[in-house]
Amino acid sequence: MKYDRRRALVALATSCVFAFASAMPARAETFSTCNHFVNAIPTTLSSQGVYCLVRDVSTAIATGAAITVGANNVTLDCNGYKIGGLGAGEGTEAAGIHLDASGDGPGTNFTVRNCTIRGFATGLFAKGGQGLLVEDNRFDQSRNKAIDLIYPNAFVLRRNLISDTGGAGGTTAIGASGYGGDISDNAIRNTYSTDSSVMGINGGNCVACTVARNRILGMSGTSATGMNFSSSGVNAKQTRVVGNTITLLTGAATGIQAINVRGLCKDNTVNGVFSPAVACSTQSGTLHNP
Amino acid sequence: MNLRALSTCALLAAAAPAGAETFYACDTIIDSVPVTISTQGVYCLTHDVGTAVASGAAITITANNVTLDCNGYKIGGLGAGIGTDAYGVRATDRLNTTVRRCSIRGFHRAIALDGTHASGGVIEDNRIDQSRGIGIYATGEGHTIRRNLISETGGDIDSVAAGIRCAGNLHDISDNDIHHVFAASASGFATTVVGISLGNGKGSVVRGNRLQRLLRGGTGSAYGIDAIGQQASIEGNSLALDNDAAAAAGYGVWGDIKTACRDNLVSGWNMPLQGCTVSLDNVVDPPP
Repeated sequence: MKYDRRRALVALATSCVFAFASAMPARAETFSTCNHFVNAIPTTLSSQGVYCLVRDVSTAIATGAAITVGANNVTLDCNGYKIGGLGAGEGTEAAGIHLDASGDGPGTNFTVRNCTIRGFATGLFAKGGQGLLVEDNRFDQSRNKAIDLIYPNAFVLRRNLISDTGGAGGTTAIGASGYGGDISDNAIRNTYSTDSSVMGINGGNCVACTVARNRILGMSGTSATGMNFSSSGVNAKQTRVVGNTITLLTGAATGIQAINVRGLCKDNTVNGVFSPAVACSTQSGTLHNP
Repeated sequence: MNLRALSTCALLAAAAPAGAETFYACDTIIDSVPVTISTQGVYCLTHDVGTAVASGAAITITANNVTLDCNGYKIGGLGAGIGTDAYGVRATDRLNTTVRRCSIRGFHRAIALDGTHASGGVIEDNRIDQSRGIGIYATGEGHTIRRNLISETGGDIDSVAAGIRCAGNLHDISDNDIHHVFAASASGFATTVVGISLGNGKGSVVRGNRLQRLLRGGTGSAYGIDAIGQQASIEGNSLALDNDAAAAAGYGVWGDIKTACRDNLVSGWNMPLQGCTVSLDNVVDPPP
């Protein structure tokens, strides 16, 4: 009898485990699946695993980085909380998140999602490595660049909301050089410079990249470019630029610039005074609303 | 597993989150409404809340950088009746307000981010039902309104019923479903309905939305997307009037100054596309 009761309890516990497993969060809001918690910054994520925020964190450092990725296979899920850097002021040179996987450095397969990153010179800086995934973040009030990628392999930037990027000096919302990137469904609003040029997405040296369905709304500076895929370096080869919308409220700008590279541009819409609207080696379906 | 075991399991399960919810990521739980949120942070619902207030708002937000995550729970206002003037969630002149995963039912305006200084709001993944006047109302600049389901909007005899109504610049309105916007009366002001209205702003994008069953009253008009303003992009939307040949007044897409219209599917209007400065690959299905 005792044995039967024990066996019944084990069966009940096992059933509950399976029932719970189906009821638990599938991902993110990942407190239940976090290996580590980030309670304060600056900090270094020094071993692989899933790191989560449980509250807003801020720093006033003006150089260095709020969060440094110091290992491979790291996921940072902020659960919507903020990594704040406004305290350093407009002259900050700090990065919100920094990884340098060039050479044998750590940072391969880094994922960052559901973060609000506010007030740094660069929201996310990533150099080298591969397997970078940046999704569902909000970059706000980055002073120079919201996202700055220097030759990672196989990166994905998707569904990020990037707003109010700029200050003094040249400003780019997304700077992406690299190999085999996917830059899709990002919304970029109000990229500005008080004294220099601005770009929405600079994919010069982005090789075999897909840039699709992004919205770039509002740019202002001494000159403006919605998307650039030309450069004097490696050049953007075999890049596909599809279904993007660029809107300029004042002044004049270049829409999509991909001359002297093997770019394919299709079904892009540009609103405002653009010259050229779209300059690609192969293009169709451009709608220019001057 | 017998019934007692199932009950035991259910009790244990009640202590854990029921889905992809963010109870663990909340700063503050909202237990009842009306309430005012005056400090930035993440606020959550853990159960349905309701109120019968007929004016003011169930949740008033007076701080910047506030996130309200309802985890799918309801903010109910049906108790105030069809003549309510109350808001479900309202933030006036606030920055970076986020409202997500809320089911908001029975208010005059379900969600309002209003005031000329409101900016950077995100309204996403909400279910908005039985709003008497407007489902989502957003003014100021640069709001993102995406993936909301807005149904059964109308009933106020003093309002033009609208699924989404905006004013100001650079809004991004994408992937929303708007079902059945209806006029409150057959005569007078409230005979006109609109799916999405941009007001007099500049540079907004309206992309990939699905609007169905827009039903005017009497001799009023039904507008699918009213893009009065400048440099709007109306792209890849699917619009259909109610299945009523008489309801063909108004425009499917009504552009104004420098409006770009492309890849839209417009069904049921006598005047499907009006005022688009440039157009490409729109498909029009005439009234039955």
